[in-house]
Amino acid sequence: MGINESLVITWAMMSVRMTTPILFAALGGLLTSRTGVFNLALEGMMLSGAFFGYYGALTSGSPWMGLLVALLIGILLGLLFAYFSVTLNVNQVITSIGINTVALGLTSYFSRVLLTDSDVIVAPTFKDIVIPGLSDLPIIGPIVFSHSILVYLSILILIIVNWFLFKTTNGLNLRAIGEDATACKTVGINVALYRYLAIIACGALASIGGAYITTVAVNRFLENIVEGRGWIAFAAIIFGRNMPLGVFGACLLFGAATALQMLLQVQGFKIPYRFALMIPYVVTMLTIALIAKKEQIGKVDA
Amino acid sequence: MGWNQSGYEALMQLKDEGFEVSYQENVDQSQVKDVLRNYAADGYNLVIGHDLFFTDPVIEVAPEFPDTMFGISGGAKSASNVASVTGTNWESAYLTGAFAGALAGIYITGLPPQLHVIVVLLVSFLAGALWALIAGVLKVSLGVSEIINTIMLVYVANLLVDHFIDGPLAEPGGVISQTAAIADSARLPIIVNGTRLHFGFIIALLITVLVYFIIWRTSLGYQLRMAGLNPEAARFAGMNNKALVLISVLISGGIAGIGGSIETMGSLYRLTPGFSGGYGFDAIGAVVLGKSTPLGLTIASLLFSVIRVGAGAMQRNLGVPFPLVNVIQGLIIIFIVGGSYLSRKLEILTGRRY
Amino acid sequence: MQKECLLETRNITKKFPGVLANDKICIEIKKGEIHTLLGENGAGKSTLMNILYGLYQPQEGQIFFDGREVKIESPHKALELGIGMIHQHFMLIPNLTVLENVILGLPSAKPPLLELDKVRSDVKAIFDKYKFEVDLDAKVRDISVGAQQRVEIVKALYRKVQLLILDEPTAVLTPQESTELFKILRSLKEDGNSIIFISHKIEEVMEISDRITILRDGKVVKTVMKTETTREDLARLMVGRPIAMKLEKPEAKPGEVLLELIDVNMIDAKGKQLLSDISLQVRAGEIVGVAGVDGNGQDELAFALSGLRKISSGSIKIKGQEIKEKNPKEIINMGLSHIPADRIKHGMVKEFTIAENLIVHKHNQKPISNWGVLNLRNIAYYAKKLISGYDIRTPGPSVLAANLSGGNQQKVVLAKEFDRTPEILVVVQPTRGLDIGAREYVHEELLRQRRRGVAILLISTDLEEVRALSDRLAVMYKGTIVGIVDPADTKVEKIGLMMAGIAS
Repeated sequence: MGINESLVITWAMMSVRMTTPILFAALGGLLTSRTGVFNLALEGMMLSGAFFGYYGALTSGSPWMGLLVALLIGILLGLLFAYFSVTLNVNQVITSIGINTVALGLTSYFSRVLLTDSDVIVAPTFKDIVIPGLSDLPIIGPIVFSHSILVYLSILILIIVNWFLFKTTNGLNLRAIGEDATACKTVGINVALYRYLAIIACGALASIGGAYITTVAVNRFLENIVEGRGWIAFAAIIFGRNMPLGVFGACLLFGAATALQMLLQVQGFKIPYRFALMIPYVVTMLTIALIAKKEQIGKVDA
Repeated sequence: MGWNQSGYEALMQLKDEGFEVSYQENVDQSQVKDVLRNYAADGYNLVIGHDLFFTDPVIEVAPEFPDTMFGISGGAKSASNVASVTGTNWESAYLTGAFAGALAGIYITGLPPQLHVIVVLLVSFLAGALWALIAGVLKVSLGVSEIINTIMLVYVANLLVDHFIDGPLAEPGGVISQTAAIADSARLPIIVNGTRLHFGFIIALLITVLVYFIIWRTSLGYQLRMAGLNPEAARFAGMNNKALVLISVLISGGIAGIGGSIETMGSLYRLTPGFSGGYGFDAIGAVVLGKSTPLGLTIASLLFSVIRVGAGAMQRNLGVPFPLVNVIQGLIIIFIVGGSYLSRKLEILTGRRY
Repeated sequence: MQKECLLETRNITKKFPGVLANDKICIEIKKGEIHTLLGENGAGKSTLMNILYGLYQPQEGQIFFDGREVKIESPHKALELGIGMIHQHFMLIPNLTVLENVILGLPSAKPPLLELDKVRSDVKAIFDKYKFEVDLDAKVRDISVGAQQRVEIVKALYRKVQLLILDEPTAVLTPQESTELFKILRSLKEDGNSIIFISHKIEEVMEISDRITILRDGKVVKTVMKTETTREDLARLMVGRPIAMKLEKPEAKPGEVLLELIDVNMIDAKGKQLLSDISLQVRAGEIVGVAGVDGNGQDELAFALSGLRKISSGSIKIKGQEIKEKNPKEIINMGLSHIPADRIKHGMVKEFTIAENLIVHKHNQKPISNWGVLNLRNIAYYAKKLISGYDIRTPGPSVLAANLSGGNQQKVVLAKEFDRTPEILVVVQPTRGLDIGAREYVHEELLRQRRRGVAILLISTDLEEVRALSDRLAVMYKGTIVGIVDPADTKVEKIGLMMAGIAS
């Protein structure tokens, strides 16, 4: 096998893995944005999930426990966000800034307080699932059938979200709320309840996305480890035009950009590593500029 | 070698090298192998770095003026309200301003001190303004929301500046990665002997006054406020909203840039990777708290400075880690803002003022 | 025949900060009647209806429905009781289909899945019963306003309401569409349903109602049988004093053509024709009215004239000079003023003080500013001058515009535009939402500008207003001018047919 060929396969495989945390967060954000709430706190929610997922796994010895802790923290943050943005009607951007700031401070604080004296800082992680037969298939095997359980979970959630939005009455109500909440109130839909649930689900999903980083990708926590993925997830929602499959596509693109960045470093390409690190951010900016340009054509000069 | 295995090995390789690199961009690459052991210490270094300017509670507020600076730049921005979330622009404009200012401080030599300081301020204003213009132009020409772009630009600016500090512009022969020190002529004088209160504080106050004047007392400020409060009405009145957005982005980015270079000229004298410490982000909180008026911003900025100073002292004396600053600031934003919403809600519900 | 009572309110009182919107309201709605609430804007009609629909909670009073006292704490509760409401702005989701809108908020037959087949046949049955129809699979955003209103009616009927509240339902309809609507309402009534019809148009109230309750300043003035009252009585009860239906309007002395449109077309990005082949002239000293049902290109026309939207082809000339490529500022400087339809959104900054709003066209001129620096003393002086000149009722120039009444806000808009001594005025919906007094003031001001020799284009959906003020009246339908008539000797019916695109 040629080196280039295997490199492409490695890239594809890495892309899938780098897509997963963004996809979790983006699907959560998609649910809230469909209810007309823009959750700019995805970054903070992911960061909390990353830390608490890691800490849970570290102290209990099981990545599942870490996932559970991350889930609970996500739900809690979702509740907080919902209370401020829905019940108190605080500006969503302000609420998001607050949550992001607290999350950054709290996780960094805890990581210094809780982890300094600990000798064991490598937490147990989710192992890749080897599916007999399928995992050995050429090309498809490494790209599709050699990942951890969370990768498959994210795809399952993608399918569920799509089904929920377009095949259920609750999904119909949720979509309607995002378009005109007042109209929904007049037909007796409990708008606040839907928003609460969507935001809580979003917190849980974003938190799991963060936990993926520390319980699958790397087995430790570093300050600000999420590095803008929450924002990239938000960009994916815009780029994917609020449609689950579109969002999935956007996440794949951003995941591929992240994977490319990593490959470039490992393969010793002659570009400074910090320039490689810029790739996902630049790709994100380019794509949202691209979609804006496209929409501009359909826009009147109002 | 099977497909699986090659993939796995590639992954392992990534885990061993690439990933740490990507998560530890502020650490010199040669230290990569030590990252695991060092990362806690790295945080500690950062705190020591902060400690340098937190020597005495009485004099410490002053060197922390970058917060004030950002408050001001926030004022330019949010009092105009043209796009009040563009706040995240300041962090990257601060970085680029500091960087360009440092270059002008290091590599331009032979100027008389006053002139050199002014040149550095101008250079950093320009750098900050131009950097901020990226997101501004994208918004105005393509209608791209600035929220994501400005955040992405923070990461890019960080990486870019660190790259130069660490590589091409590193101090020749230096052991640790940092730039050379700026020329003596570009350093700001200390204004109270025996303290670290330097001339940058005065510059900050002057800019506050200037921004206040522009916003409330000039025709330009009138247009900025109008375009911010009701862009549609401004358009109906024949104003050019796009130009106004760009003007406000330029002003606020430029002032943020000055904020960055004052920090260098007054207390750091050189740049090290990760030097910002997030002042630009603090500024957003200060704007939110200060409700977009220059006076409110100044007060909120001072408050945040005091929190930082206090956190420095707590770290030193009690061993409380510095990131607690963020926690406190975030909670303040949430509760003060949330609280004011709550009381307004009560007011509406009960018809009574709280 | 004494019919049974379906709904009764006793002493309903609702206060908002500074306003007593409903003051001890008592009304009775019988089964199978069309009961009109008649009143001016701000009389408290909508507040009362929002209380009956559970959107507001009254501070005092009781509601009885079907003989039992009820507390309607949400629209959901209202619907459960059998009360449905059709708002002025339709509560429909544009991006969903008609059918999806009909079932929105209702439980499914096989939860949690969407179940549309049974719903479809049920809705078809309703169509058959009341003899009207809408395409169930069309997206709501693609169907006409009249059809959207029928969707709202089906939505209510599908929920088996016994009492249907319609808030100014004819405001968005042509006279012919209104006739259609009335047919449907009558067949609903025949079927035993009750209808509350909210309106301030006396003509249609006399046409559709069985009984009429007149509201004024939040109080019930009187409830009368339609058969026992007259138009004049209703008008007097509604405004509290006899109103002069005619304006003093001297003969026009039209001068040269100041504003000219030649074959103006506007096509949006999706290829939809918004304006087609509009040709029109407005001369100095005349008012040319533009009548039409809302959304037939009037806004686009006004926007095109002030440079806020570009036209696709044709030519617009101000004093003989082409303005197609000019921006709003250049057009303003050529002497055109635009009084926008939405004064709060487009005409002012409500967070600004009155003075700040008044200087919008002068902020960069002496003596308001000097070298770009505002002169606060001169600003205050200038503002005071305009406040007294235009009779703006306020404690002073530093009061926020948001704290003014609608009428005084409109006076601020007129003052800042008229003080520029414009030569051409594009005036859109100048009296929407204003009370009678303010309305008269605005009309007199417009006539004063006409005397001064200004060329005025008055765009309004209020047919009475344009008929009374205009010297010539252009009727718009689907982006085109179907005809220009003399308002003094053209019958309303004829104009109505033109508005519907039937006559020309």
